[in-house]
Amino acid sequence: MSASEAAVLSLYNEDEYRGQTLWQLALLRLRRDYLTLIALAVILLLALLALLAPAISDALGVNYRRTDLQNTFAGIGSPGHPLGTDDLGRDHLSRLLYGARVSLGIGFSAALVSLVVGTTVGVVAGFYQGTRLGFIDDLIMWFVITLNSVPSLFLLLIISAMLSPTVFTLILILALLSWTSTMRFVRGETLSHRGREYIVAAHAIGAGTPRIMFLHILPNIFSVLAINLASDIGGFILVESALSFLNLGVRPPTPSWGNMLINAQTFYTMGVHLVILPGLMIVITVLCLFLIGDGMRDAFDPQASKKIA
Amino acid sequence: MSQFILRRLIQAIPTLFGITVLTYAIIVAAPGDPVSTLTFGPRTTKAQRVAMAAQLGTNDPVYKQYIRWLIGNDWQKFPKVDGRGNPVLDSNGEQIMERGTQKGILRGDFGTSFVTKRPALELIVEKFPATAELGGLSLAVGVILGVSIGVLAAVQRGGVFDNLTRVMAVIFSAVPVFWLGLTLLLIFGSWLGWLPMGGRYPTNYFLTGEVTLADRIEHLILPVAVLSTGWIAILSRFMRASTLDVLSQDYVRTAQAKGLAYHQIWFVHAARNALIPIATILGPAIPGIIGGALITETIFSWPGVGRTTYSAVLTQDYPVIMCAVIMVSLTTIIGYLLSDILYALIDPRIRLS
Repeated sequence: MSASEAAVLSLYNEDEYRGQTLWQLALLRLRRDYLTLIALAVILLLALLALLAPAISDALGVNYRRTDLQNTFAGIGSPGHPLGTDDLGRDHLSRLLYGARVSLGIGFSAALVSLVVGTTVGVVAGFYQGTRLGFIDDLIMWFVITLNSVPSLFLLLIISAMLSPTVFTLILILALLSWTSTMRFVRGETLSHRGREYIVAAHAIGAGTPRIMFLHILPNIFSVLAINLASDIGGFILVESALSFLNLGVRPPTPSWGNMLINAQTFYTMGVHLVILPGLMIVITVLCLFLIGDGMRDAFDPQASKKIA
Repeated sequence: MSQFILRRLIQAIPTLFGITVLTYAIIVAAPGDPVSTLTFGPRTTKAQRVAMAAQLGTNDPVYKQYIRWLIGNDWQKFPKVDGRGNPVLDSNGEQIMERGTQKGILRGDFGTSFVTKRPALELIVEKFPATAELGGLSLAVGVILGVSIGVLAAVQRGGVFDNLTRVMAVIFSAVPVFWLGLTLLLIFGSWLGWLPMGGRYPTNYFLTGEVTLADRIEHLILPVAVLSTGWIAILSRFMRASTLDVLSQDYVRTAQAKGLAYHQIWFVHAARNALIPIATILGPAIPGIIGGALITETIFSWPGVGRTTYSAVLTQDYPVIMCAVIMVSLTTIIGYLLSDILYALIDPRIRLS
């Protein structure tokens, strides 16, 4: 038995923790999960740095958009540019920070939009499955299965190429092509909830369908959804970076960690830091988000953690 | 069993129909229309444009055009126009009508590539062997390594190997495929110079037409390494959980009690049953792997379906894009089907439900 499991088990034995809500218990477990806490701290630090990007650039006297063709491919630690400059002489550190804004912002927003869409559609589909209005569920499932049969990167590439998206439309495209897994999950949960006594009771006192869907069922499956948010954000950051790397996501000169790597193959001999650093930022960010996701799952469902860990 | 397969095949029909609708919706939504593309020129008159639209059938409602795209237009007659868009009249001044020439995608006619002027289907199909070679090999490497790592991690639960592989799996699932490819190319291609910088054959293949097995393996190492890490990361975690499940079963204790060697218990008794759930994730993992293959093929200049699609997207070569989407989706559906059948074969309980 690992130390964290012992901690979790001890929680159950101590009387003082009895009668706590799911969220309170999860918070207690999370407080002892140092790996998740460290990951959370790293993400918060990155978010803070991203927010402060303009201030930091000003303090260093650099601008992420100012090109300087006299000083291209400066190495790490060169005067005035702590992380060197890129192929156009732009300061690499400030571009990484502004890239963090774009990448984190897109990841977070897309995850949120996809969560909202997936949840709404999932609750509706699950609620009507097998009832008089079952065709609604059939129709939705047909669409979802169809969408899942086309590798999403293909659709993303084609739609991005057609629309030349701004950051805002890119968020929508990313979210609208990837809500299906959330939807399937919510649909399953709704199916298991809709037959329970509290829903029957809600029907009995005359609650309307939308009220039952979104005020009775939804709050009960919400915690399970919140758990996946962190890993979803990580997934979206990965997809966005790949899309931007293929020059079909965030368009230069707006920096994103993905599009800073577009010309990476030509940088091999001139500036290795231009290849390594943006990728490293993606890896660190996504890794921390995945770790937070794992930690949340353990905190909310100790049974699952015992099985997998 | 045949009943099960038949039922699954029938279930695939609405999905296929959905995919054709989705693909067609993409070109309908695409900017620009064929008439203005073909008649782009200052001297084109309105009459020419109208005649051309009539010939191409672009005045018809979208559903009619969709049906023509599916089953072809050689059963319909269209007004004949010359290269400039003027109607061709016979000696009586009547419009000459002629049959359409498209056969429709159901008969394998995806149209002609705008760029290379070759049939789109031919362009995609000839790239399949390269993609299959890369994908199949990566899958094989991924399954073999992933399953072995998963079993070993499970039997040494909590040990150094277990923790190490767990950390590696999380890290590798966080590494973008394209960056992993770039970094490996940087290290092994650029710095060390041990492996080629991409491609499927050596550069002089186009002159000599000769390629040795060693050459081909050399070109495969990096792309396979990149593409299989995803499989290894997923499968090793999954295999570990499912092996742990199996190891707590009574029959494993029986095997231990009758004095079987440990490797025999792990790899013969436990691993066989632990493999059952693996069949379920192979299917759903396919679309992701094909997506990953697109990026890998692009980075390593691998002449496969993914790279062809990517360049078609960049040049807005719609016939090729549509053909690629439909063929890749078809592959995905077949993959799902195979994984379901595999699962039903391994686990008889599935067939009955």
